[in-house]
Amino acid sequence: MINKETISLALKLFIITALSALILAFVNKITAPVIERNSIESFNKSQAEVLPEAVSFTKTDFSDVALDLEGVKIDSLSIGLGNDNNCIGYVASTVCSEGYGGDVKVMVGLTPDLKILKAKILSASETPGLGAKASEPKFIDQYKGKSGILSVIKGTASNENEIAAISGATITSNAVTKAVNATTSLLQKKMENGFNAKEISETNEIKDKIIEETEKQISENPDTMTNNSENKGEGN
Amino acid sequence: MLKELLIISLSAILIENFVLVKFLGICPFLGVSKKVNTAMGMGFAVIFVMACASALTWLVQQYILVPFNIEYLQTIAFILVIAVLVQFVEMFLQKNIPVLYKSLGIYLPLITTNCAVLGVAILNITKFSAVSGSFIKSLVYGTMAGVGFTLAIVLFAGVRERLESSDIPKFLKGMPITLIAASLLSIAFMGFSGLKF
Amino acid sequence: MRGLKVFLNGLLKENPSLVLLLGMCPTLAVTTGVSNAIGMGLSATAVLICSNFVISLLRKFIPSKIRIAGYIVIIASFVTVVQMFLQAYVPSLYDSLGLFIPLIVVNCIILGRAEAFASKNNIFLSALDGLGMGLGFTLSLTLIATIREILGNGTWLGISLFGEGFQPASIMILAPGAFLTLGCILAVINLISAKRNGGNKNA
Repeated sequence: MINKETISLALKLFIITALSALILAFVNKITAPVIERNSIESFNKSQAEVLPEAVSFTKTDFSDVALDLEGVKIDSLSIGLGNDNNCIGYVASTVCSEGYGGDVKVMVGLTPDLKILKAKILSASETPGLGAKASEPKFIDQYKGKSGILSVIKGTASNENEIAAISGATITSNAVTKAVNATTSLLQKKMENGFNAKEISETNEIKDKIIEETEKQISENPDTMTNNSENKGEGN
Repeated sequence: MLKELLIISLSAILIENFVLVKFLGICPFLGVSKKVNTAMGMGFAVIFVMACASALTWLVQQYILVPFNIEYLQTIAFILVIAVLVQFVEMFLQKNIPVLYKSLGIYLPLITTNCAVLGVAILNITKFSAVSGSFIKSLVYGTMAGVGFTLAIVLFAGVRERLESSDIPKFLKGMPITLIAASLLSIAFMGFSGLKF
Repeated sequence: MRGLKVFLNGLLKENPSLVLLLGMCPTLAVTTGVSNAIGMGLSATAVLICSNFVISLLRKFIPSKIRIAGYIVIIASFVTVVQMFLQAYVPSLYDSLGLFIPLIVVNCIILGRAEAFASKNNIFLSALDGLGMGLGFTLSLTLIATIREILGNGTWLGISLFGEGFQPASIMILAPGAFLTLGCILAVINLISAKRNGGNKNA
């Protein structure tokens, strides 16, 4: 069954595939750090957008908080720090899997007393013209200034903790709200547990490290940094 | 979970129809839609391959690409998996279910380069990454996207059969009128985006 | 001389999307804006040139029995390379083209040219064929995108063309507009070629 020809065919195909994989590994090695830096930069930009007053951010561990959430996953939680290292707010990014077209990623910035400053859709694959309207100010700015657990209603919102659904896209509206609510309950629980001292001291270390890295980046690559600061200025 | 799966199915079949809204699998949609019968055959072959491909590529992603940190080989791995899968399905059907092979066989080789199949495999990974249950969701999404493809191509074949015998201005004959008909069908499908829950 | 002919053949006479009707998915899907269309066209051009070059180089090495598998591996590698470069250096384009970058792999133009041209011709002509076909593809994408963006959004390459008063027909940048635009362009091409043939007959 297996003759010389088959072996030679398999061998040639194997050589082609192996060479391709080798080339790709090489290209990946060049581009991976750039891609990583891009994603960190855009993450930082989003953080600065939802919590504009913060000077720096530091990621916090939240594994001690047990949340009973179905369909929502917390991606990250950061503390926003002011000029003299005081906490001026929190930023969390969450993923809700109950959107119309799959996952909806939401980032929320909150004040220390858990009032929502701004919510932002990081990524979603909702229907254009309907669910995709979730990113428009008309819907997403409803979260501004709200606090506590929010609920979605159809029509116009009349109560303090109500969000008016996008017409024709209740599911998307629910998914976004679920993600925002998860952020609030995560922070409520986390504040009950308390941010421990170790985290805060780590916070400062990390902050120093970030400053160091940024300076290094500036010296290495002045162009991207100036672009970045311009973008930051635009804010909304 | 069941409700979510229902939403995913409806979305894949009607609201975000692969062919008419997402523009995946246009080549077979225009190429194999002259007769309702052939459109059916192509459609069922696609459902079958898309379901298998969704399951297989999910496994490849979770148990080979992610653990070894070689996600950058995703495109190449998926297209090879699909090509091998199609070849295998063809051989299996030929040997074991010759009746089915007779009706689907000629469409199978075309499916390797049907971008809907590779598209659904990649979409599954980006869409359902976060929370558990992504395997079932991928499988359902893949199958239902195939159903959506079949629905679109069969409906369209019905339209084209009628076009054959109608009196059309000469310069519109062939592809132009076909595309304009597809545009109208696509407008009809836009109506589904109003489906409310 | 042969080179120029090969190049122009791809650009006009056998334009892949408007004459051969290959690669329909990206033609319809990414032509909502001119910048997307150009980005897609150039990415596909890069892949076409490289894959045509390499396939022509290896045409004696790859046995015909496994040629399709070999071609797909080669094309997929170049697509991944393009994908990684876009993600690293043009992230905004990467985001807006999304799924359609990896789907260049199954673009029938590329496999079609590999099979029909690169496997039979020398390296130089194959690369030139890739360039011609790629630019032809880019050109037709840009044409469709121009019509759709102007009618559907009132802009060209993001620049607003009309005043505030212009009410764009957003259907043109939605799915149906894609089919409609391509249908109309093909109808115009039919008209032109019919007139030419008619003229020849009369003469």
